[in-house]
Amino acid sequence: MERISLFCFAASYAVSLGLDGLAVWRGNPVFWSWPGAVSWLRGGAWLMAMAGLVAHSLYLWTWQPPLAWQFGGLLVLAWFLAVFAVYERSHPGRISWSMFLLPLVLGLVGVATLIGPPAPSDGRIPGLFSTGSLQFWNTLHGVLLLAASVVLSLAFIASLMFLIRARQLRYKLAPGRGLSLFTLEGLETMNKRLIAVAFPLLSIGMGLGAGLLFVHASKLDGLYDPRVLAAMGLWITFLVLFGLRYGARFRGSVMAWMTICAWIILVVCLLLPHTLPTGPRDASPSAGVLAP
Amino acid sequence: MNLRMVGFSFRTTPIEIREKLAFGPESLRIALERANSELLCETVLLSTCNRVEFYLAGEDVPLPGPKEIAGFLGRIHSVNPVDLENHIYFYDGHAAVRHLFRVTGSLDSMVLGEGQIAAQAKQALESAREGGCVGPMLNALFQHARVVARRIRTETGIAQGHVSVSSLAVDFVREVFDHFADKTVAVIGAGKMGELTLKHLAELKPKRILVTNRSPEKARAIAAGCGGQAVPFEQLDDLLVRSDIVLSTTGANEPIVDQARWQRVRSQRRKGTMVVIDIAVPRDFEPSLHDGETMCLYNIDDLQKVREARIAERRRHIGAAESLVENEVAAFGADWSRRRNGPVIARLTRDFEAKRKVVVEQLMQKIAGRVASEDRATIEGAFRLLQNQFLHGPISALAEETSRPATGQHTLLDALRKLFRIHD
Repeated sequence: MERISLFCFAASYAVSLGLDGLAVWRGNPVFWSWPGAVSWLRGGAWLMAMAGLVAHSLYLWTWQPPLAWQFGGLLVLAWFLAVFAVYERSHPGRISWSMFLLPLVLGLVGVATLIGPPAPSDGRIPGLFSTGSLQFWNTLHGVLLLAASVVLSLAFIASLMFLIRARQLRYKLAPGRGLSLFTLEGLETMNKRLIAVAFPLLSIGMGLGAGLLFVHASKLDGLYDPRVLAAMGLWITFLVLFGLRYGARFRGSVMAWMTICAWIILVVCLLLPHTLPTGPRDASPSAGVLAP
Repeated sequence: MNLRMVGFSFRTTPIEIREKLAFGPESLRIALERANSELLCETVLLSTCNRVEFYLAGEDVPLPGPKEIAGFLGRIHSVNPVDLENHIYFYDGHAAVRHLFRVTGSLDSMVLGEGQIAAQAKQALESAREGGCVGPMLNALFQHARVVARRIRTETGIAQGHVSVSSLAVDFVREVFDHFADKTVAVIGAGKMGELTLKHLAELKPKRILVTNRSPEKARAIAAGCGGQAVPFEQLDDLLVRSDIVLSTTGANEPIVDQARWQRVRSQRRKGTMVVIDIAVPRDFEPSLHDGETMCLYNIDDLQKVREARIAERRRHIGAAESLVENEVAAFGADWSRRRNGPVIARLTRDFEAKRKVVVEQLMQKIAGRVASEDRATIEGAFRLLQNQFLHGPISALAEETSRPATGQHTLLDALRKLFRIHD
């Protein structure tokens, strides 16, 4: 199992995405002369996604990358999204979720590969399932933010779908043509529900983060630390989103664009502790307020 | 395969003649009764508004030809058979199988990919069964045709999507809304064209249907027909504020909803997207109101465009469907031949088995006491081997013939029956 690499499951996901793409590409003449081609392609796509998920799970189980380091956080986030992609793919004739989820999964795995795992010698970085007194709060903080990240990623995809669906409707694309998506109403409702779930997770997770920040205050550049600023930015964006969700009637596309903005800020938050060098104190990733 | 199809369809026969040849339930029952006594073979009569086709089959019986069928129809419908002969077409054997599979797969239909014909073929078989006209061949053939029709519909895109304007309108509505139990449908006007669309919309089971018309009586009549509620035409703005789906089909000469009116309505709306199906000519809603989010507006031109695109899309799948039909024709031919040859092969093997046993028994009695038990087994094995090698040739030849289309009435099967004196 130690021979399983990031490439193994990334390649499986990529092949699955390719097969899915072929199945969606109904203009391909092969479908006119080969009855059942779409079913075979979808079946193959599901198998490859499943193989990727198994390899991904084994990788996480074997190496237990620390959740507190971006590498582990991104891989675990990608794993959750891959689970969702495989689950949705197992329902024949359903929506093209995997066409949206798998690129995201591949992107997260790609960024994780660029960041790379922490040095094995760094004993301060806790493992994926580490225990300890303060570590419990660290882990809870990480898990809550991870859960918020998963939910927000799904909301991001629902928003993308919403905008594509709205575009399909704007150009009066014939029903059944193009990507298979939920209805406009369904996507708007889904986005609202996901935001409603993500907001408390994010708020509690960030509250815990603020507490931990107080404990680790010496490792940060105060309130002007980019990680703190980004986290605050994300929370404020979410607050606005939450307000839109329960407030006055807004166009669904406004909600969708706001959700996409929130997700981009989330990604920036996930990457910040690694990409913004703030001196030798950054060696401790547990100081990352948003690093899950 | 002693099978024949004789028929008339919209491709060869004008509507005036097809009207005369069409069968209702009662005339179909009478025709099948008469077919039993006059045609003297298995008969299934497929009668739709676009075709009347006789499927005829039987073992070792001459099948009626086009002239006999024209005469038969002439007697039933009081039509001069000579008038029919110019429009008749027929297929024998595998060609008849292919034709039925194409018909049930709706490859030969007026609207390519329509789904009714498969049900009509099923009904034709049921009627023929009730009339006692169906034997093993037509039963197997029509059962197989059902499978082929299902495969064509599910494995190719030939039946993808609706092609009627009213169904397409509902398809567009379904692209926007998930559920309809909380939706309000508004009907503006009372055009004939809107009736079918309204019927389809009512099938979505919306929360309420509100109908408005310049004539309150007409509004009340339509509302009564669809379980809706009539609203005075003066309250059109209020109606639009409350509605999620609008079906507009007035005879107005100018748009009744323009930008100014829509902005007024929109400022009062607390609902999400409004879907408008405007099938009025001239149009009732200004086309510029469509933005794909707050209002999705589809007029008759939009629906016609999609309809034409759908039909063109279906045509692209003809090749796949035809190749599927070819495979199934071969499969049915092989299957039928196996069914037909199976009993002959079994009988042939059984006869040889019995004769071998008698010969071996006689031989064993003659040489009793002179051979050891191992040698007896060897001798019995040798006779069995001889029997197998002897039968291998005829059985293989029969199997080879099975995989080829029949070329004439006298088949290898008949030859084997005569050569080896096999009788049913």
